[in-house]
Amino acid sequence: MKFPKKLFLRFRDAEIRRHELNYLFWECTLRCNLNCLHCGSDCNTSTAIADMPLNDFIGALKTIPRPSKNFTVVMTGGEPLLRNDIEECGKEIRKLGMQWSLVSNGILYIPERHNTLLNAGMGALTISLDGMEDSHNWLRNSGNTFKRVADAIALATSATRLNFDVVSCVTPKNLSQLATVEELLGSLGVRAWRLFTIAPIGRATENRDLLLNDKQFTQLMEFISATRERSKIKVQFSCEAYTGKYEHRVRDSYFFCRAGINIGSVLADGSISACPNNNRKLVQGNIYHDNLNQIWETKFQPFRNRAWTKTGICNNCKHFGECLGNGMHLHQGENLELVCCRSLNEKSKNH
Amino acid sequence: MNNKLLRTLIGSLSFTTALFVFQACYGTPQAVDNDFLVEGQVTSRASGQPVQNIRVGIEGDSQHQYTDSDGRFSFYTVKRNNIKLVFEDTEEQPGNFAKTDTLINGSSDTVRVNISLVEE
Repeated sequence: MKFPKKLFLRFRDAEIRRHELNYLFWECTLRCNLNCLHCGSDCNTSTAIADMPLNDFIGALKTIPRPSKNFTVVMTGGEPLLRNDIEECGKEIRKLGMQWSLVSNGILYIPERHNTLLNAGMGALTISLDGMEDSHNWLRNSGNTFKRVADAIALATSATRLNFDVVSCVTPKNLSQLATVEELLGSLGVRAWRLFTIAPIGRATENRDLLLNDKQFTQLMEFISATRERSKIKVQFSCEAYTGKYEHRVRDSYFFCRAGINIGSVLADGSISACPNNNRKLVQGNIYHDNLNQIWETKFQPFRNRAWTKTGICNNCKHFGECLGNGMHLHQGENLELVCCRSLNEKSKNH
Repeated sequence: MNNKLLRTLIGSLSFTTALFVFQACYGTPQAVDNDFLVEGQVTSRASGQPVQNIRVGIEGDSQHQYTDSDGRFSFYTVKRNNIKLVFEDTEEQPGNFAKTDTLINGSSDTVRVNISLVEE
């Protein structure tokens, strides 16, 4: 059922005014056991920035006086499972009345860890699978991770209480494999699958072969749209970008970049931002010298008033009212132009 | 229409759940409050002392935990009624405790279970 767009836009504007923090990323480590071609973060196998001590993060959370219902701390990295105290972190988060979840590459998600993570109250989980074996291993820059990730996915689906989904990063190399991946995920018991593309930020700026061209992006939108009609798996495009005529066909709702509206993050060095993949020029404070709640309530103006994004290719675009300058991670800083636009309504594109 | 009413109206329509239970681009789905904490302590009925390494599990579920040196356990599990909590001494050496179980209900956020085991 399609929700009336006008009503949704009023709802969105009310949400922006309300700006309730209910989804907080914690970049709990920058250590990673992979070296993916597309990674947007600065992670590495060893890093100069040490893992943030649990107590430092908990101290920041305690500044939030009344966490909203289903307030979720999303542990990300790097690879969070490289931290041996993730379970302890989760338990401490639950003691504050908050939920927690994990984004993982799946390599370390083994039965023993699955059990201890569930014991610690993990409520949601996302594992990445970037195509069939050749494509996945290529993008992950590792010879044999595919099988381990498939095993991890099967393990995760065995816990029905988990709000679990698989994410796939779509590239020109795996675009033609999506139907096969869908079959595989179905056989593994996956119920939700989220697809995203690579934006020309981070390491991807050095490897343009990772990016879909307009024709390929259209092919992806058509695949998602058609699959949503027939598949038992709930397939959707991520919230990364406005999609023009495909809005509401590739997601349950219209595009709404909630960075700085409902989504915040505490980065590995203590920086307070919106999404972890937002440009570091948009950092709003640091938990080591600021109060997290106070920063959330009093700063983040560039995220809540996006009039500044109406420049360059957005300046005369008739879609601006709907997309508000697209995803914030597609801006390299305040007052800087959008790095790319995925709106597919060619007639209205003025670039 | 005021904002609170609009939010309530949209939130009450199940098909718009995604508006509230959303996920960021590179994040997870939002976790939902569907579990509760089970915690407690296992002691020996004969000595009253804590018992370590007792497997505490839920019947029909692979999720489990072993008691620590203070006989304590603590884990989250899905909210439902009539959950059979099973206490089992799985150590290989003899002189162990009889397997026992108890029923609990997941109607509150935390359920505390203290149990004493009988030596076989």
